[in-house]
Amino acid sequence: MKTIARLLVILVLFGALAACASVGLGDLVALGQAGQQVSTAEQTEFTPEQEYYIGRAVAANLLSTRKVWNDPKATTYLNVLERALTLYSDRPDTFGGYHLLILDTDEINAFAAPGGLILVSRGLLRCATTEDMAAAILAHETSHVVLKHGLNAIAASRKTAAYKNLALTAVSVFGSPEARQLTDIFKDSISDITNTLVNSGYARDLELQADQMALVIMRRAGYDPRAFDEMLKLMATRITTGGPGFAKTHPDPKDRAAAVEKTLDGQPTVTTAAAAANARQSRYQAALGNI
Amino acid sequence: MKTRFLLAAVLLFAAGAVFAADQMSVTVKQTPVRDKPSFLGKQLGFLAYADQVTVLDQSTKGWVKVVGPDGKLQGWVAASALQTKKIVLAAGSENVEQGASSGEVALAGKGFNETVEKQYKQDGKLDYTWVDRMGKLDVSPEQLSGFISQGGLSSPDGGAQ
Repeated sequence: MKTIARLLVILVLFGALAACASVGLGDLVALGQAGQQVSTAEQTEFTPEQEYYIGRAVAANLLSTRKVWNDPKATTYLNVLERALTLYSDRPDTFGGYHLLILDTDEINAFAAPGGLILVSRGLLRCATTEDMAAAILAHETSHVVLKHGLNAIAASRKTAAYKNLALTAVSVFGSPEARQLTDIFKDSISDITNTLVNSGYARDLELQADQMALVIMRRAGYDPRAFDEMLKLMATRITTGGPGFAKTHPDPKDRAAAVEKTLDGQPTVTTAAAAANARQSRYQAALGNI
Repeated sequence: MKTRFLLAAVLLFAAGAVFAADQMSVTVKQTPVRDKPSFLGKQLGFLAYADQVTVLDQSTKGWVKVVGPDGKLQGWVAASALQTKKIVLAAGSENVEQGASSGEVALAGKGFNETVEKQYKQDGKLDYTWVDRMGKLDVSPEQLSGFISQGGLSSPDGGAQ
């Protein structure tokens, strides 16, 4: 009897708890609006929405000194290829989605801004002669986004300060001290990322990590991972040692190719039916034939 | 007797946890609800950022079957577009800043947001024209499915881990 009574008490208490939970969000916000502190738990990573704004700013900075190659056919083709590849990645969705532009330069270069804004140069695209090789280039850039390498380029101390402020502030008034303070942190964070992308490059192990993930994405998609090796070998013949772009920010393509070959050694080959291979080459030529 | 009491409490707590776990939030600007757990499935409608959905089925890897906030839109959403943390859309109020930042609730528009972007854009005199333009370079479901089938690519379902 006592047990039943106790169970009844628990049920009543549980009902009360559930009712509290259902009051939930609206009341939390209302409390906040009344100026009462509900919680100040610190943020430990950027939200997808914050990553989106960081990525837009990084891309805007990169595009402020670089010209876009506005070829609709090539741009559309690469955006479809990019979207397709993301479906085989571990992160098919970002806040604003994956999008790509072509940079009008002979320099071998590419940038993956956080959140999925990818810029790839005509010079780099010329290191591919097939769709599978172009897929290798994009799969590598996609992997930087999936692995959040851009966000990780923000100095650790700055991230700590950013998380602390981000957890406390929802600014909406332009020019307010809060907006000013957050914008300063934002500005420094964007500088960290763009400096890394343009000048220092990611650490060698992060580049190799992106290469390895790209091989996985290609295999899942049905692209031949050996095309990655071919693309790097072609790049090695075109890159200028000590030059700008990848020559400055990426490991030697020969070293990357060696690491790729080591991974592919012993793995089953990916075969493509003749009709599909023809279709890939035909659409690749139609879109990027004059890259 | 004490053991039974504890057991009952644990069971009820677990029931509460299950109740809480059947809600998820949309973490992307917009995501389609599909008729099957496939990126090539028919799009039945769309969910927007911070929409709260009720989870019906999570047994398919990479996909979650949900009912939308209107109680009518039902179908499959990619797991990468959802999170268990609730999101509150309350960016319009300055005073909301102290609330909704616990481990269970995320405040949309918190921190780096549109206002910060506006301020940053003005400070650096940055031109976002191409950034806005590239954000609109969307790929239609027809383009995507045609590209995949024509090029003999694998089925993308099960590709994402």
